[in-house]
Amino acid sequence: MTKLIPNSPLTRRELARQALAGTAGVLLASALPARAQVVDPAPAAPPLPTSRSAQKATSMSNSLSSEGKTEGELLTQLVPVAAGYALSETQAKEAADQLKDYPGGFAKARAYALPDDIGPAFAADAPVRKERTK
Amino acid sequence: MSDTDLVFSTAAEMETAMHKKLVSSVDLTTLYLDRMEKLGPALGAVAHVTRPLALTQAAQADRERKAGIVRSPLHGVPFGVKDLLATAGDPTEWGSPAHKGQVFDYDAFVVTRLRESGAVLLGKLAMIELAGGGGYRYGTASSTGPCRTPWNTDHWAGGSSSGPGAATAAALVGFSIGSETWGSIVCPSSFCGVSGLRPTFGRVSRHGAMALSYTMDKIGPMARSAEDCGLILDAISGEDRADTTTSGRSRFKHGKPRSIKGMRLGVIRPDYHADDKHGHAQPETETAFEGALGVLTGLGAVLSDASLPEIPMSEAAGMIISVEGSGAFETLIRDQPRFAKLADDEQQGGLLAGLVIPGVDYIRALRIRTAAQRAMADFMTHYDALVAPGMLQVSLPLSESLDSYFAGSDKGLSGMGNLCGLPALCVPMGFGPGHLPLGLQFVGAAYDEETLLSLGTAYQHLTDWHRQRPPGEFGA
Repeated sequence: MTKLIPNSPLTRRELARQALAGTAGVLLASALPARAQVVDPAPAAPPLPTSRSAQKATSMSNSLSSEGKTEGELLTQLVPVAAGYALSETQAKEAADQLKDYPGGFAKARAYALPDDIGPAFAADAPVRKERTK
Repeated sequence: MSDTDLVFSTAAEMETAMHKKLVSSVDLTTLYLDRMEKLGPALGAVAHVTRPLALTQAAQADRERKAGIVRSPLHGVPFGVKDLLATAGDPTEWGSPAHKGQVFDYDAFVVTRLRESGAVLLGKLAMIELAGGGGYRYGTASSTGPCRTPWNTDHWAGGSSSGPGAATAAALVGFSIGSETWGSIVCPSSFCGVSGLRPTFGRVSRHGAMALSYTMDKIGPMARSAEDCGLILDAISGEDRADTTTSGRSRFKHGKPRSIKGMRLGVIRPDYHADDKHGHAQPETETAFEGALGVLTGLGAVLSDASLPEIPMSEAAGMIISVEGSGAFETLIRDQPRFAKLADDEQQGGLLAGLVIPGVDYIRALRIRTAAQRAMADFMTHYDALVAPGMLQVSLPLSESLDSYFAGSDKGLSGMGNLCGLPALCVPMGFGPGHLPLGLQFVGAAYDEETLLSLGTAYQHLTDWHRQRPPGEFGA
């Protein structure tokens, strides 16, 4: 099992590359905070579905290089892998267009200082209302 | 009363007319069905007409009324629903070419509630495919084609509740049900000149509705008056075990509007002078909005400028929709032949992109929502409601890309309101370039639709923007 611990010398990009050795880990890897550590070695790649698209996904995984890529470009390369099939050129381009600005677009949210004790609001957590001041 | 006057009546007026035996539900239903079939195609507003069912329900409503049974103020009033709400045995295609022929064997919760209230279902109304979850570049992104505002059919009706907006404005229905995840009720209400209510998240069950964003989808009324919105919310709100986001406090009881004298309104002023093409409100928006503020002041409301808390709420809202949308449609995304049928390339790209958004970013967005809800709860202790234009500009031509249009800033009001699950009411406030409608938006504290409806009703007592009819055959 792969455990991921903060404050590792490994970069997010490198972790993504390592995780792509097994496609199952890709989403987890891309979800890492900026610095993290792989404690155990990555698992062997799980058996992939037998199809031409799956073979293409494997091929894309193997060819993915983190060299010189921005986070947005890396994410773009992960789309076909996550989808589990080869995309049309138009689909890949549209996904790339939407992802290229994503890291920067969310930078403000990433930089926003949240107290540790604030957890996520899920669907059943109803909106909050307080009484008005008089 | 002429047939045209009848179909442009509010739901409350129709009920009164039926009560006085001036018209029957079958009469009204027939008038609307004829308009749906005659005018619906030109507007691209209708997905599916349920004529036999409508006439059966109308006849039953008339029989019951004759027997002294009046189920609710909506008894016998004909309506339509956005095509993301299941109706047993009818096509429910979500505006999506990939869902052509999809049929459910049950009714959505709101459809059941309205039937139990005696209202008459006329049919399903057009929408942007999949409620635009992955994004869309043009208003034409629907299996039913472009939906047009009846005020100028070269212009978009707004989205994603396009059909409910256009059909209500052109009196193809007595009222309609739309949905909003981010702007999908407020936008078409503004573009079509109707009154639309986005309820508090958790007010109305989504059971039987297409899921786009589990934590942000809301279902609400679009009608010809604020009062109608209250009557409809009364009928469709309440706890439903099939949707655990509803609870004991979901029930809304519509009553007599409160006086707005002394109400404190925080004014979110748009940027009237931004450089970019769509990043600012049009001069006509400024004129209409300042005029509306004058009306509210005259009614005794106390206005002061307000600015939302500095929290990246729109960014968090966008993140949540992106990830949850890809989650909701994961099966479709992985079915490439069907997925490729979606009308808008941007929709496909957006849904694919959501597959690889890091989980920590999604969790961060949910945590930001917690912070935002707390901050807004504090913020709203100082105001009874916030007020702003519904949209900064009038509807755009169908040929124009939406990319630049929605790049404009509404000071984060829509992102905030939808992220935090707060209610909003949009009512007509005048006209802009090309005599296209403009909307006035009120945003309230959680579960305080009553204040918004009181404000809207008071405003509509002194103005007649909501009584204006579209030009040509759509208003005749």
